[in-house]
Parts: sequence; C-alpha cells; structure tokens
Amino acid sequence: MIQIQNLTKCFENETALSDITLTIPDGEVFGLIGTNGAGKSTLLRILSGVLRQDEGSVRVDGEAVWENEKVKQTIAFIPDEAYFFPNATPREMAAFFAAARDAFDFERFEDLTRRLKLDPARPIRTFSKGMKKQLAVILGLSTGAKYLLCDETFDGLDPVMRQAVKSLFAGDMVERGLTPVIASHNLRELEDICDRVGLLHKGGILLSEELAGMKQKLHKIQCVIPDAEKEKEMLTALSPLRTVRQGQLMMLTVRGTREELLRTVDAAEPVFSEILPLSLEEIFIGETEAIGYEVRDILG
Amino acid sequence: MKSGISWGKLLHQFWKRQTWVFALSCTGAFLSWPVLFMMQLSNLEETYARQGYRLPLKEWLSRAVCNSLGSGMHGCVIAFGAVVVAVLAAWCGFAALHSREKTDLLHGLPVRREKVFALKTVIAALDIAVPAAAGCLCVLILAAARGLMSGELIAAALRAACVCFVYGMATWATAALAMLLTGQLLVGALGTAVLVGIGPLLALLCKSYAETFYSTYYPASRFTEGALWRYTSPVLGALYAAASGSPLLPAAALTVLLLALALAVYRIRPSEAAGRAMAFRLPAEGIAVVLCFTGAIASGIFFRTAGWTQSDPWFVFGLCFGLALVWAVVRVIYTMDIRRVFTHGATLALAAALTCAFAAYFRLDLAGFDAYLPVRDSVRSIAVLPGAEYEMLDSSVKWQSRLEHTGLGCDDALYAFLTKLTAEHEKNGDGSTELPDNGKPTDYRVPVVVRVELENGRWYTRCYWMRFSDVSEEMASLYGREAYLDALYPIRKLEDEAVGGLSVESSCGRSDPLTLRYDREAIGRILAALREDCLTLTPESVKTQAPAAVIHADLDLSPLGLETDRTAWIDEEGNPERYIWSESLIVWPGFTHTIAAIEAAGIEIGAHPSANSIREVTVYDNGQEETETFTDRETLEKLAPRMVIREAVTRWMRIQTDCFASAALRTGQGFMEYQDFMLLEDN
Repeated sequence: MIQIQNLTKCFENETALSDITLTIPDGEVFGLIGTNGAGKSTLLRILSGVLRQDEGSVRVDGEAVWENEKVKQTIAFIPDEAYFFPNATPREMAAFFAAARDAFDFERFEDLTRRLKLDPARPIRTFSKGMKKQLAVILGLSTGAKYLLCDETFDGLDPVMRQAVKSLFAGDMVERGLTPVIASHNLRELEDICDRVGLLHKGGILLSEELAGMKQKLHKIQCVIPDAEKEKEMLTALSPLRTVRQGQLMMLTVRGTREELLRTVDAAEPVFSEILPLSLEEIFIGETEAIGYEVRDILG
Repeated sequence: MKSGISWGKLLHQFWKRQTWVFALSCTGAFLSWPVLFMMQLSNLEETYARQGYRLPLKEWLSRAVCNSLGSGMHGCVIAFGAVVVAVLAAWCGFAALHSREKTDLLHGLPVRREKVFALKTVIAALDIAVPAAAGCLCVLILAAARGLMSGELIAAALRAACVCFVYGMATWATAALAMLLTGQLLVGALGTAVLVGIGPLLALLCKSYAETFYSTYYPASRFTEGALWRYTSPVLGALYAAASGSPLLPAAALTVLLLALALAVYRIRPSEAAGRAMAFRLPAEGIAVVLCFTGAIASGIFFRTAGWTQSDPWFVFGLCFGLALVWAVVRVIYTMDIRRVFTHGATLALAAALTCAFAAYFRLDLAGFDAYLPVRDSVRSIAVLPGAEYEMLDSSVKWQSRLEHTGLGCDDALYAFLTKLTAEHEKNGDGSTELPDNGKPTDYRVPVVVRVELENGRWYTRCYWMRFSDVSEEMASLYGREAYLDALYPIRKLEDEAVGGLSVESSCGRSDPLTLRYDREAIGRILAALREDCLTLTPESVKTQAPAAVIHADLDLSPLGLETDRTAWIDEEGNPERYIWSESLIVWPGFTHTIAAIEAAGIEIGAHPSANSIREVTVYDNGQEETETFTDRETLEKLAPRMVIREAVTRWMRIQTDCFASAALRTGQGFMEYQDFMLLEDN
C-alpha cells in the first residue's frame, strides 16, 4: 500500500504539490487525473523516488521511498517520455534494467515483445512513438515491480494496443498482485480500467475515492419544473455543482444518492425528470468547475 | 529466468554508455606514451650525434628520457592528456543529470546515489588508469628493447602514471562538481572552466594588484609560486607536478577531499535541477558574487595598466565596467532571460562591496605593506642584494635562491639599513616616473632587495628603489663582509670540480655553452681569476660602469649545503645530481684578471661591441614604435660605444629612453644571429 501524508513539493517559487494526503491500496488500478499542471507527474516522480518531497512523507508498504533500494525494487516508473540509450535495442535496454533490478524477468520480456510484435534486436531509434510506449510498458512489466507508475502511458497507443496493455495489467494484477497507478488526461480510458481515482487540481487533492462510489454520489438530473417557486426551492435543496438551461429543460450536476435526489426532484412536481449517472469526464468537469476551473473561463 | 543484481553488471552497463571516453583515452595514451617516447628517442639520437657528448649513447639517452618523463615535457604531455580525458569522463558521466528524461531513468533505478557515484568514479578511474598503465608498460617494453631500461626509468614512468591518475581524478572530481552544481550541459562546461580556472586567476590577480600598488612588492618565493599552481587548480597542478617532480601525496589527499565533496553535493542535489542553469540557489548566488568580483578586479587592473598613464579614474571605470558586464552575463546564463539582468540586487551589492574593499585594500595600502618594519628583536636575519646583482639574475627563482643564502644575521648596522630603506622609500616613493638629475647616471636609482627572516620562522621580501648615493655607504660595508662575497660569488668556496660547463655573456653576445665545457684548464683559470677579482668589488666600481660580462656557470652547490633539492636537473653532458644550479656571476670592468682569462679562452669580451664586428644595426624606439637600420661604417662607429647588452644594463633602464638596437655581429664563422642591445643616450 502506498501512503502519502501531507506531501508538499515546491519548484523554486512554485508550489507543485500542496499538503497531499492519499492512500493507494494494493491490487487496484489507481487513476490519477487532474488539470494541466496539477502535479500528476510530480507526484509519480516522488512516488518512484526520482524526486524528494519538501514536506510530508511517502511510504510504500510502510517504508520511506527516498533512496531506499529495497522499496524502489518494488516500484517501476514509466515516464511520459521514456529515455532510451542512443542506438540501444530493446534487448540492451532490458539488460540495463536487469543489472539494477533483481526481479527483472527476461523470459517475460521476450514473451511480451513477441506478443506485441516488437523486434527486440532492432534499434529503438527506428521505433515509432507508439512502439516506444509499448517498449516502456514491456520493460516496466518485466521488472516484476509490485507498483507500476504510468505517466500518460496510454497516449500514443492505438486502440487495439490500449486494450492489449489493459489486458496485460489485468493479468499481472491477478497473477502477482500488480498495482498500477495511471496518470492520464484521457478520462474515458481511465474510466474503463480504474477502480479508484484521485483528482488533483493546482497541487492539491480534490478527492480520492472508488470510482463506483464516486458515481453513486454524483448524478446528472434533467428536468422541467413548471412552478418557478418550487424550482427555486429544489435548487436550494440540491445545491447543484453545475446548472445548464435549454429553454425549460434544466440540466443539473448534483451530489447525493439517487434515492435522495429522486425525492427532492419529485417534491418539485416536475413535468419531466430523469436522473442519469455521470461519466468520469463529467465528474471531473463538475468537480473542477465547482472550485472555479471552468471551460468557459478558459475560453474567455 | 531471473537476473541477479551485482556491481559487476551495473559497472558494465554504466561503462558501456561511455565507451567512447575510454577509446579516446586509449588513443591519447597511445600517442602520448609510446609514440611520443619513440619520437623523442629519434630527436635525442640526432642531438647526440650532432653534439658529440662524452657519455655513451645509451646512458645519455636513458637519462634524457628519464628526465623528460619524470619532470619534463613528456610527463607534461601525458598529464595534460589525462586531464582532458578526466574532464570528458566527468561531463559524460553526469550529463544524464542535466536531462529530465535521463534523470527519470537513472534515479528511477533502485540504486542509491552513493552507488551511482561510486560506479561513475570507478569508471573514470578505469578510463584514466588503464590506458596510462598500458602506455607506461609500452614505454618500458620499448625502453627495454632499446637497451635503455633502468631503475630510474621505471620510477619515472610509474611516477608519470601516478601523476596521470592522481591529478586526473582530481580534475574529474572538479568537473563532476561543476556538473552537479549545474543543470545544463553548457553551463556545466562553463562551470568546469570556472572551478578549474578561478583559483589561479584570483591568485594571479592578487599578485598583479600587489605588483601594481605596492611599490616595494617583490615576488615571494618559489614555494609560493609553486603553490599558486599546485593547489588552486587540478589542471595546473597536474602540469606543475609533471614538470617539477613535486610530491603527490598532498595532491592525493586533495583528490580524496574533492571526491568526498562531489559525493556530498550529489547526495543532496535535487533531481528537478535538470534543465535549470544552477542546481542550488544559494551556491549559485555565491558563485555569482565570486565571478562578478573576479571580473571586476580583473577589468579594473586591465584598464589601469592598459593605458600609459595608469590613472585611477580608469581603474574605477574598469572596476564598474567589469562588475556590470560579468553580472549581466551571469544573470543571463542563470535565467536565460535578458529582462532579468539586474535582479538580485542584494547579491550585486555584495559583489560591489567586496570589489570596493579589495580595490581599496591594495590601492590605499590599508595593510601598510610598503611601510612595514618589524621590531628589532623579532628579526633573525636580513639578506640584502642591491642594484646590479638584482638585474643580473634572469629569474626570480635564481634571485630567491641567492637571497635565501645571503642572510647575514641581524646586527645593528643591518637593521639600521633596513630602517633606512623603509623610511627613505616612504619619503621618495618608487621613483618610477622620475628622471635622474640632468639625465646623468650619477645618482640613479637602484633596486635594493631584502629578505627578512623573523624569529617566529616567517619571512618576507621587499624591493626598495633607492638613490645610489643613499645606499653606497651600506653597500661598501656589505662588500667588505666575507660572508657576503661568498654568497654573491659561491665559487669562492667551491672547488673547480663543483663547476660544470660555463658560458660567457658580454656585449659581444653569448658564447656557445659548449665552448668551455670540456676545457677544464680554461675553466680553472677563469674561476681562479674571478675568485681573486671579486675581492676588489666596491660600490664605486659598480656605480660608474656597466658590467663587462656575465658568467653563467653550472654549479653543484651541495658542498655549501644549498639547493640540494634540485637533484633532478640533468645537464647536457648527462651528469645528474652534480651540476645542479645555473648561477650568474657578474664580471665588472675592474675584474681585469677574469676578463683576461676569458679572452685567453678565445671569447671576445668588452663593455661595448667594436664597430668592426657589426654589420648592421636596427634601432627600435618603443615610444614611437619606429625602426631605422644603419649599415654605413660612420654611423656604426657612433652607435657601437652606446650599445650594451640588455642584461648588463637593465639597471640603467630608468634613465634611458626606450631605445633598443638589434645588431648583426661578426663572429669567426661570419655573422651570428641578431643580438639585442640597449642603446645608451648620446651624451
């Protein structure tokens, strides 16, 4: 389990992460979502032991990560732009990782390159961006690390390959209890794979919950309320995160369970009402708009 | 299949990433060890054949290559090659920290920074040591094949390899430190130059300020000069060690310290520094202050001395200009943003304050350097060398050596002389711009150099410019002391066997050093005459006339208990540890016996060259930068009595216009190469 307590990280005069407290349980896929510059990559780099936090603690299975060889053996970091040595082949990169990681599995590496149709003897410089991403994933999985930290790993992969990688993750989770931590902007991808999501915004954590539970607590309501007074009472009771009107049709993003919301809406005697679950993307937009990060503001 | 983690595998993987450094090092070692060795052998064999030395060829060659490898050119080339490899190895080894992607890869590995540093250090050591060891072995094999093998050669080769390794690692640690303190490759390279060069530069600037603003300043000593090179920069230290044969243990200790410092910096270096100019904020500001301060004082002294006037306004302008310029450059490098040139005002103010304090310290002589006079009881010994002798010695090393063994203790007369020198100098200043009375050499200024040893073991040297009339009495007293004459003319106490070859430099040029080398009888006659003549030395004899000649003699001073540390010197005849010191002995016109003995040996001598021996004269006037060449007999006869050799007349420089003559002189074989002369004023 990864436990982050009051984590703060500053770069010169900029605060990248501020007082983050987060727990990532074992055996689940943890999605790290956030606005641009929210600190997702910074958090992953701290988790992997590349960066050192200014304040707070990061513990993996109860031990601090920084300069801890034993703990770092259990963590593999796949950065947004993985570096490969000039003129190196996938096999040479594997040899490099194998020299530093006692659990590196060459057979797994050979097997994965065969399955993903990557030539392990071909110079990496001749690979496309997507192929390099695949190689980074293969190397990460071959390390045998318990925690796989992926920074925008699915970007650049074609849909078929995304599914293949997801399958690999799922297989490793079942077989050896892999815990992938995936930072991404692609919320639809995360929605399919993540069990739990952490939402970062401007260096702070907005929420961290199970995705299913999150979806049960946040809903979208479409309704038409003929009585203005009752509509006002309903809005006061619901405190919507987001309100959009199209003629008489009102679309609200609100917190609460489906039953609670149904009771409140019915009390307003609507001529039409519907309660829908939110997608992860809508949850993200709703939560960030609630704290003033609106698309309208960005576009002016 | 599982792979186990091991140092060997990691080392191999890390080393593979920079094999080009090893290849370069091997190439350099191949060229600088065996190839240069063979080239040297070829040249030496040619020299031997041309000169016809008495020693057997192999013995002479063995000694010559030994000397070159242990404390000569060959050793310097090898050391320089090692230093270059070390810098490249450090840049290559730590360049990964200047890229975010590479840093993610390196620091994402489950390997502690100490181990990473240790691996990089081992790789650098291998890059430097393996080619050097192989090169050393090649040289020894080649030497053995040529029959030149000796214990001395093995020792010299091993020492050269050790110099490579010790100073190579010191340079590597310094360059690594620069890379760790910075976050961009270019800034890292600049940082290496700064760390390698800032020490010697600051030391040279301090020396330059002392020379400029302290009118009694005199270069301190061989030790200080050596320390300037040895301990302020690993690169210069390497060259110094290779050239001087200095001990390596202090350098090895410094190397370990540098490595420890680099490791400490690496341990705390933030990974996010990749891409930034400087990795640490506070040290970056400290470095900015040092750079600005250095730039300002360098610019100040440049503008003060660049012009003829040496004016203070230009000095101040130089300080301000240098400070502003270096500050702007440093800020632009730090921020890559020209709009932020004059940010961090507090640091700028600190640099300005340091600059002002430094400039004032020297310009106003706040330490009282020129007026310093120790109390009588604290002085153990005073050595004095006045005027002409000072100018005869063509290097401060010789001068210091002479000073070191002319200490006469400290009696009341000597202390009174020291007091007088200090007081008169204060009153008169250095007189550097003052012309003598009526331009006549009746009361010209002479430099009087003193070396004062204190009871606490410390010592200092000063050079006071005095009117001749003010010191003639004290000089007469000095010449009357046997001990003093022994110091001026060490040959008085030496047997003829302690003298190697000698050459004579007079107004007619310098004799071939070989002319007298093997003519022991002629050497004996000249030495005997000199021992007799030097007893006639008086202030008057040196006041009115230029020296007739200077004898450059190779002396073995060890019987006098002096200069025994110079045993590595080998003369051209190949007699190591014997003729170990080249001494300059002045022959005054009054030394008639000596002059006769020299002329009897077939060497022309005289105060001035005869007109008949001159083919043409070219006169240079430095003030006007014009030249004029004369070949007609009438002009040559007028010029000849005004021509004196440069060394013999340098003491006159302060009463001369800056006129020089270059003359083609006739010798037995025709005309020799051009000889430079000072041209006395036509009175």
